[in-house]
Amino acid sequence: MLARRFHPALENSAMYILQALAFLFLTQAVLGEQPTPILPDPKLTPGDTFDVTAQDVCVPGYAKKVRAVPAWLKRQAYAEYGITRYKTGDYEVDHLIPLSLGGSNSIRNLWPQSTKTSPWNSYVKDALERKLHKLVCAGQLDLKTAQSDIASNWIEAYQKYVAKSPPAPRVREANPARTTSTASEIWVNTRSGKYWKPGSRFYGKTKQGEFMSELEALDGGYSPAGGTGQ
Amino acid sequence: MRRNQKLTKVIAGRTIKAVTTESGSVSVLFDDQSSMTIKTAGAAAVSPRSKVKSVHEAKADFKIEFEDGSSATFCLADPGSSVAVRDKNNAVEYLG
Repeated sequence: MLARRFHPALENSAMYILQALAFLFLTQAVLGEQPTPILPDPKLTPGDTFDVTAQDVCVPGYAKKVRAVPAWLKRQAYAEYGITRYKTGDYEVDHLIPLSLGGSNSIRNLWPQSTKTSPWNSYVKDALERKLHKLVCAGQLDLKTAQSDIASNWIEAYQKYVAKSPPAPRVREANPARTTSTASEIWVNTRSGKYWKPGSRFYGKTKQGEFMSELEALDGGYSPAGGTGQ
Repeated sequence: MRRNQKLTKVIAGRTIKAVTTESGSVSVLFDDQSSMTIKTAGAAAVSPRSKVKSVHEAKADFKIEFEDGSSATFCLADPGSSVAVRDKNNAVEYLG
């Protein structure tokens, strides 16, 4: 039995269409790739500080009093860097000048930092931040110098204060609790300041509210409804 | 407008003793000698003797509600970096 054949011109056309579709798909895939900045764009993120002294930032619990990055500001940070699609845990919205060194929550101090790039990623910067805070609080480094150095180029600052060579490649896996679906997030009633856990009566149901991780909610000063959030 | 829970916990119940308004900022002195500075992008007015009930924020909009039902609304100069509260010993209570 002979296989059914189309006219050669039609077969060629079909081939061209398939090739064009494949090209279009690949182009979209490439263009859809998100940038993974290792250093922030100094025009978008020059760094910004609160009016504080070393004495202020060295008080235990200082950073907790000043950490307040609302969801809309995080979204703005991603948008400014052209990052429209990402998986939970791929990035963290980083304070270029960390709160522990007097950095502010202004958009001028926030940028989406990759947790996946290697060897320079958010975990390496965290190590630098801890080191600088320690030096400042020990009186071995001026706060303004620490702020300036980490804002101008945090990788160079790492090489200056922590180690000359980059750390061994290490990319921490995302927190499993954050890689699961949004079902792991709690619902904050932003009017009352109480939050509800998945499955509870008012989860996602209050007139005003938003989803966020429980850690973000606690950081934001919210507390579980009825003491448990259930 | 979303309640700023963290700041509300800090200043709720405090009564405004004095207000100083300058171009681009408002300084509030509370009855317990703590102070709050707000960097603003526009004009703002706050009445002394008002007792703070809660604080609300939506992007650059910043609103303080008082126990007597009145309120004061500001436009923050730079959300996330415009409000500072320090206690009578000048220790940081809130920055944001």
